[in-house]
Amino acid sequence: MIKVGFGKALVIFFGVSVFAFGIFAIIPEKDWEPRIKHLKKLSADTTFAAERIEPEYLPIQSTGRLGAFYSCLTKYGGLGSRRMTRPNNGIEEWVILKLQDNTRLDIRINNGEAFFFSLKLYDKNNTLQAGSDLYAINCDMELLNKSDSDMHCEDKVLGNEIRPVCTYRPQQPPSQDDAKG
Amino acid sequence: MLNGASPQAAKAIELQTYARESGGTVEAVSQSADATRHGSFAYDSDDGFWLSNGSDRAFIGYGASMNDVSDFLGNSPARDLGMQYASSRLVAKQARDNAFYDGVVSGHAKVRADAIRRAEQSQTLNLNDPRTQALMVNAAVAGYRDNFFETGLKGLELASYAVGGAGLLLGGARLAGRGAMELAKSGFRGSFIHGSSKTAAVWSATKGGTQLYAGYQVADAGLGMLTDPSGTAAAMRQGIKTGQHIYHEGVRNGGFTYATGVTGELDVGTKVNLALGGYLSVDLKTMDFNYGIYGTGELGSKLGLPNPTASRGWEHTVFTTSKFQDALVGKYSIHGAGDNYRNTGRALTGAYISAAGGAISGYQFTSELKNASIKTGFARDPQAYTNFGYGAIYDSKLGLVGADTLKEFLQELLGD
Repeated sequence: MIKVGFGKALVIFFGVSVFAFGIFAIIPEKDWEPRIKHLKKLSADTTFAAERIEPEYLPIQSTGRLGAFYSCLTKYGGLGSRRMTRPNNGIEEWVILKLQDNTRLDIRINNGEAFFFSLKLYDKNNTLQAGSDLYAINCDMELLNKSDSDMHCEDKVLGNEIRPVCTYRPQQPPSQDDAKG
Repeated sequence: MLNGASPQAAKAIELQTYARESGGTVEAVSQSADATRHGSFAYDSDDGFWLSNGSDRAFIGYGASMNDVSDFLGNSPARDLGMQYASSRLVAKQARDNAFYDGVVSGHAKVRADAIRRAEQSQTLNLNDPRTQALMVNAAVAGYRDNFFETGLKGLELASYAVGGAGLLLGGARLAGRGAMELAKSGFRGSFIHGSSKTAAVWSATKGGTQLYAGYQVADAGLGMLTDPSGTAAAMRQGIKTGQHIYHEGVRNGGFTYATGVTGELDVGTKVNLALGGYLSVDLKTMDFNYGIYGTGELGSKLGLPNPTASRGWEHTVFTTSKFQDALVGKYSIHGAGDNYRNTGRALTGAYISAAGGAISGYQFTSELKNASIKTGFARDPQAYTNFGYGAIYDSKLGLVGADTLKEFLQELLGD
């Protein structure tokens, strides 16, 4: 048994904690992270090509425009509000979309719903330059290539935030809507 | 075939003809009380058989000897046939008795083995069964009596030991339950979904199944702690099994992320844990490697011996995914259990991590390097814990990711 005073260990421990706190206290409250700002340079018309779909059988469109998915993406929140709103199917599901400006959208999916993502910035030689933080979203993957009018968003309490959960709901005759429940 | 008679009937007629020519008789199947049951052409019962010496007919019990048969047949013309028949009946009866006896004995053995196996299974599987619980309590009490009172430990340690083992047991059961739920859910989905979603359901079932398996192992280890506190061999075997499980899960998910680092921990019933280390991830499809530095902070609670302790240790974590960023950044939950390793006074713990909002599984093993506590010298320190962790990384390519999460941790730790 190593004889180190309990009080001494306590002091060291809290010393480290306070030091760490000092570092992170200087981080501003929101949107301090510079790389996510790149999202503002994108738009619904930005084209994409799926670089990686994992697993390969996921029904994701491999090319097209971001469409309504971009609108949903801009409603992101902090990781503290990361929640799946669909049942966890326990499968590793993710896609990497290569955008027209060489940026990659790295999206984690559960049951057809994107629930967090990050941006990866590449230079013209396809060399990774930097990555953003992870951000929470709740976007239906079917929103890719769709118009904003086909998107239906509902605000929900997710963790420590209230954020919209957006699903693909095309405008159709009422009878078909009823059939879908 | 005689006039369309069955082979048995034909044989009976043949034999009766032969017997008549020899001066004796053999009773035909038509005289049998239950021909189909006996399935033989001559009347036979459980007690014996009929035999004729040409003039008299006698019932030969199976208790009779061949000498009795010989006396009865005398010098009649049917002697040879009768002796032959009686001999075959008696020998057949004996063989049948032997077979029956063997069957009974082996059947008993099987039933007994089955009962033992069932009892063992119910110990690990059906934790809700009151009989299992009673069994566990008995075994636990016996374990304490044999292992603890001899080593001179007192009530408090015993109680915490029980709590630690039970906690591990419950944690494992919960994990197993989750796996079972996955399995059931995916089975349900798989039953009516087709196409690619069907494949997804199958994958889900596989994962649910392995989770169930891992849960059983954890529960099993917990039970091992309760019932056999002195032995760690079983726990080691569980460790090997768990390793195989992790390997297969990683291969299925297409990669691994391995993280190792030093931890500092303060345990005053609630736990605070900080860790800093390096990670390496591999994508098995593209063979891309990534490496960097990770930091985590964990807050949680412990079931175990109430003994305020400050310690540092070494942790090894394997996530069964190549997406190191998803695995290491953000909030996660970790459920684990441990005990002191032999007589070193230092704890070894194993834990299951649920990261990325439940999308990623990880497995962590921590060994304590040094500790300082108010009470020292415990041979054992069983414990089970549940922590919430916050992680961030500094990646060689991505830079600092997840600083917000660490900040959230510090706010949680020190208050807003």
